[in-house]
Amino acid sequence: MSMPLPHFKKTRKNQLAFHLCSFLGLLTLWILLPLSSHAKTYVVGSKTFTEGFILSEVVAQHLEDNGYNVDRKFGLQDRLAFASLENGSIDFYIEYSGTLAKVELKAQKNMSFEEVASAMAEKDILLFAPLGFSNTYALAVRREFAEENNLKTIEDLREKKIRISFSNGFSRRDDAYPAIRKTYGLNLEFETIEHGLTYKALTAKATDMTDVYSTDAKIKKYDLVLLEDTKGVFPSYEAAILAPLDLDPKVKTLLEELSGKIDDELMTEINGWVEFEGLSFCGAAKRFLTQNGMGDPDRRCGSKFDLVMIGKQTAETLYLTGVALIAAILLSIPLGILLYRLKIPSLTQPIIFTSGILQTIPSLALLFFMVPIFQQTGPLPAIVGLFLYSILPILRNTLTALENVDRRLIEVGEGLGLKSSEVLKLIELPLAAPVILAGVRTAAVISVGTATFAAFIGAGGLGESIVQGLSLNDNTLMLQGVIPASLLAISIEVLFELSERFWFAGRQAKQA
Amino acid sequence: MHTDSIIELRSVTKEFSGLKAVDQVDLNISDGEIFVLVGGSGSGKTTTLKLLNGLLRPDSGEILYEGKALKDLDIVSHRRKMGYAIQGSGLFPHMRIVDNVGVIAKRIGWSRQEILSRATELLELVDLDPKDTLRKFPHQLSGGQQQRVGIIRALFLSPRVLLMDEAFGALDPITRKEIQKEFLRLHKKIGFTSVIVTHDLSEAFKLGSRICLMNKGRVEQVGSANSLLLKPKSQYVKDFVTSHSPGQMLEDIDLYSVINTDLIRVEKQGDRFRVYHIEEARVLKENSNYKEVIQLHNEYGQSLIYLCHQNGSLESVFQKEDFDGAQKALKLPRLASTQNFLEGLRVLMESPSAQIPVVNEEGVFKGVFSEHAITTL
Repeated sequence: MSMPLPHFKKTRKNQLAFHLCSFLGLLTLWILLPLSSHAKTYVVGSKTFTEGFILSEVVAQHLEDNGYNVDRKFGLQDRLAFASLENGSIDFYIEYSGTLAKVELKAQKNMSFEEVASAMAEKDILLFAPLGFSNTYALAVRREFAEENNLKTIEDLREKKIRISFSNGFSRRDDAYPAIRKTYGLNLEFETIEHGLTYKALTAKATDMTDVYSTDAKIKKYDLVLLEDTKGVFPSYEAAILAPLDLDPKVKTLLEELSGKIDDELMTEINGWVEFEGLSFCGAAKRFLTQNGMGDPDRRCGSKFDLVMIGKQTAETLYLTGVALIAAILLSIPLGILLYRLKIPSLTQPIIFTSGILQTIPSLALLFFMVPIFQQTGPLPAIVGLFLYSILPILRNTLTALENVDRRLIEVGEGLGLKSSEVLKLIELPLAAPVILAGVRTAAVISVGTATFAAFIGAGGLGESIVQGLSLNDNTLMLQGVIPASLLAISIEVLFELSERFWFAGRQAKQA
Repeated sequence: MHTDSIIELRSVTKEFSGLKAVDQVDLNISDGEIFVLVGGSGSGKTTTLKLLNGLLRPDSGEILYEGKALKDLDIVSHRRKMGYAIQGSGLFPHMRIVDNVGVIAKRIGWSRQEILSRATELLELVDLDPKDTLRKFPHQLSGGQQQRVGIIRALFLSPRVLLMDEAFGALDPITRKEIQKEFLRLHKKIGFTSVIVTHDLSEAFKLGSRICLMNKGRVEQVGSANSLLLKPKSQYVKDFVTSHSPGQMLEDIDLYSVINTDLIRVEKQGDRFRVYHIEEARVLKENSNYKEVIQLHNEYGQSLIYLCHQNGSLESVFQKEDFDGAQKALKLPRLASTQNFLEGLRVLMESPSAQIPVVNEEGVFKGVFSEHAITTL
């Protein structure tokens, strides 16, 4: 209320114009810079489990150590990694031959590694020679539980009443539980949980059996027993690097150095470095490379608690939400004003309805839908998803706010002789501003929250730490994403609160 | 009839979804008058007002402003020539007072300095401290202050015509009376034409040079307060001005508060008279004879002589010329000061005289109730 000073207004206006110009300038730079830096950079992707992260990091470091620029898009959910490779959003990731056969090629019977490789080549994808270890699904139970219930093979599950938790992928993939059901004739009752939580559930005795990967270091650590697959349902999956077929031969030669370097035992050990020794992916990859006479011993790998990483991810999150929010503001506010002025309900209602429908799509699903539409993973589909998500709160609030401006004030404005454009500018918009701003605020807070999901489609941001923490069952890592994300949302709330107090100081919202 | 009409309505009709809100209305509003549109809700008074500044367009008929058809004028500049004030002030809550009152002036290129000095001048005119008021937001003012600001905003560009829609409606009775007085003062000083909408008959009586009583979109009667009260053209008008309808407030007005006391009464003093001025509460002359009494009445411009007993209780009333001991008294009804305005009005309407004496509980003569009382409400 004590804000105004005698000639404050004039100078404030000039300052405002100046700030606005420099803001818009910086904004343009900020939006364009990341898009323009498409120099010669290889993009390495990864799926969302420990082994995937480590091996992709190995590839990334090996490329970097040999002078290539690398961009990491880690933590791509399930089939998104392969889709990203197909549409060129990423250049490398590590996949298992069996997964490629069953999931991507939809093979009915087991395929040899060579068969998979040649089938991939037909899709213009290069499958490198195996890294040297094979991984497979297995069903794990606690040792004392196995003994109590006399569980040794999958066959022993018959007629047993035990609590089962399967990860999402496992419960649905043709080569996983459905194969067990078919081959063993077992109809198990289970709940599905996030893969990263399976060990936690098992050791906390919240469940009795889960699916695991056979190379997982946690099997040994938690003293778990794997049920023997007597009918050989789970095929042995050999891990190998995937890349585009037209890969630069020099890079191909370089990465072939990694082939056959990691056997089953070593892979389990490396997994253990991350999961139990507290090494970061970077540290584990570096240790492996240097132990094998490669790598850069001077590479700086932060500990898991990495401020630089948090800063980078926060910046990425801000970039995603900022661009999406500004785009949503630039669309929704003018659109809201236009619809309000046109006063055509048959036009307004479908638009509000459509933006409402967009809002009802679960945020994660909306982000995933964007990937096939844009034929790529990364910031663009994420920004568009967040943008679509932000339209409704802003549009609806703009319309509602304008419609709720006291009719009498509009009429008195017109009656005094204001043109209708002046009524809009001087009366309707200023009076609607607090509610419009509240819409922007809602959109901003929703966006920051939703932006954490963007990591699932390779757009980075604080969600990366959450996704990785989840797959590593690592609370510290997860909190590195969760806490800054929450703080970000709170700061945005506070920022809006303060700006509302500043701008609307001294006036009452509704006063006739 | 009205050669000096500033606004003219010629059989104007306005419908809202088939209902005639204004039905074949003809009106002439003269330059400089205060023209009051009065009526119950749905009578079409507000619609009529909004037709005048083009907030509504007539479906048929014609509106002339200074002899030119409104539909041919540029509506925005037309409105800028007419002030507009509404109930509850209609101030823009997000603008400081100075920005509120100068909102149009700024549009048409007045400098900040010009706006400030005009605002200062007008605020002073309505007894508001400019220093204190200019930079405030509307909600920081009292209802009465807001209303004053609403009116000076309407007067900012010195419009020829000021339109007011229930502009005093939301105020408490005391503030309302004050502002009505102020408005009359402003009108006298500045001399604009004003068209006022109100549902309050006493406000209409108090402010209006002429009053237009509307009912169901039609004009029932146009005329002075007196002609509406004393010569109602229809049963509706008669009922409206006396009944419980919007004129209800008349019942709440104590007769005692509206009687004219600026007069003299004559008290018997043996066979001579003591002449006493009621309002001044002083004896003008003791032991007067008939001639001296008439002489004093001539001096005070009073045509009726109120003859009272020694204690002041009214005995009879004479025409000045008939006061000669022949005792040709007038037959006048009397009103008790405890009766209300409406009862007084009824008696006045039945009586051939333009004024009715009013006495208190002891019969003491206290003053007269006349049609002038209507305008002093």
